[in-house]
Amino acid sequence: MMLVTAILGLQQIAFPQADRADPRPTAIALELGYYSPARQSFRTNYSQSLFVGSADVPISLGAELDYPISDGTDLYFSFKRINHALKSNRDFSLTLMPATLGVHYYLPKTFIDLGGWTPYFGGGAEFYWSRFSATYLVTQQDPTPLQEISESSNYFGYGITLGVGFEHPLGGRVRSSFAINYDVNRLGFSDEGGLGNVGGLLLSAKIGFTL
Amino acid sequence: MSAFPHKAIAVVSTTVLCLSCQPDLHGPVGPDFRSGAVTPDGGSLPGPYAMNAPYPNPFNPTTAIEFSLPIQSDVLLVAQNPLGDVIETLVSGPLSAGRYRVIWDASKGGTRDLKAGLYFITLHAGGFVGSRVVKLEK
Repeated sequence: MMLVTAILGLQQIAFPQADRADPRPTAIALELGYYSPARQSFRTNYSQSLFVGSADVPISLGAELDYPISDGTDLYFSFKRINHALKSNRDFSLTLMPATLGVHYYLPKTFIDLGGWTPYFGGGAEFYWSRFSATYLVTQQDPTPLQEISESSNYFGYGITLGVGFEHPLGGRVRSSFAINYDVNRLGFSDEGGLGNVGGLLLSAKIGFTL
Repeated sequence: MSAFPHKAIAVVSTTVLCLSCQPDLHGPVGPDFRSGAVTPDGGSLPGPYAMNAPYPNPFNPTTAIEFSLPIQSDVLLVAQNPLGDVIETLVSGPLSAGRYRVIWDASKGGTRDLKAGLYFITLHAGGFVGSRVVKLEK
């Protein structure tokens, strides 16, 4: 909420009423993204895939709801799913599922006119849910497996995301946008005293539909 | 006495026990190494690199990891947390062809007090990379 208030305050200071963009309708969007974790060990050991066991497809999937709270400013809620599988053992996967509440501020045409493209800034607070899933062999006195166990552990955390993007109408009630975001987060992991950053860079393309 | 006597090689903070390996750690790899196979043209075809399931698993605090090298290889065997961070290097260096056993004691070594949970052990040898999941119980 403080973030929203701050951005609305900056908007009031930076751009007078007459300069603001047209009122924006509520919209929903589907998102495809490429997620590049900042953590070196994470990049080295994990591949990204839509579904564990599929061919490596380095994309994330997400959905977003944009709700206008003032001219040129949307409150948005998004949810993403980013699957990672351990390169050297596909039985071990890590799924990141950040839910984000934030704002997008669209720059008015009077400030910058890029034709059909409207640049925007965004930022939000994230609630992170991550899920480790692993299958391992139960053994006792020798390598002979006695049983195969699939186990999952959930870890939760928080983060922030900041980014910029460009939106372009496609006609009718459809619009597209491209964005680049950077996430920083803290997740609880078993051996790091409760802290671990799995944030990184997310390049995304969205297609939105106004309601 | 076996032609391939057991020998212990101190590496990092763990002990690597050679179960059956060539006597010269750094010597040339012969055509008759144990894990190899012979191709129709008579040339040697290395058998696969392999890492067996660690035992016991789940474990507390020690587990044994056995792996096979068909040829002399630079080996890196590490224990990693779910993020992929290396929490302990178990083996780092060249090993001759053969079978090895490494004991990982999660109660010492490494830089952190490990908590119960899932970890994975990854073997890098030659072009081979394989991981096994282990569960530390406390």
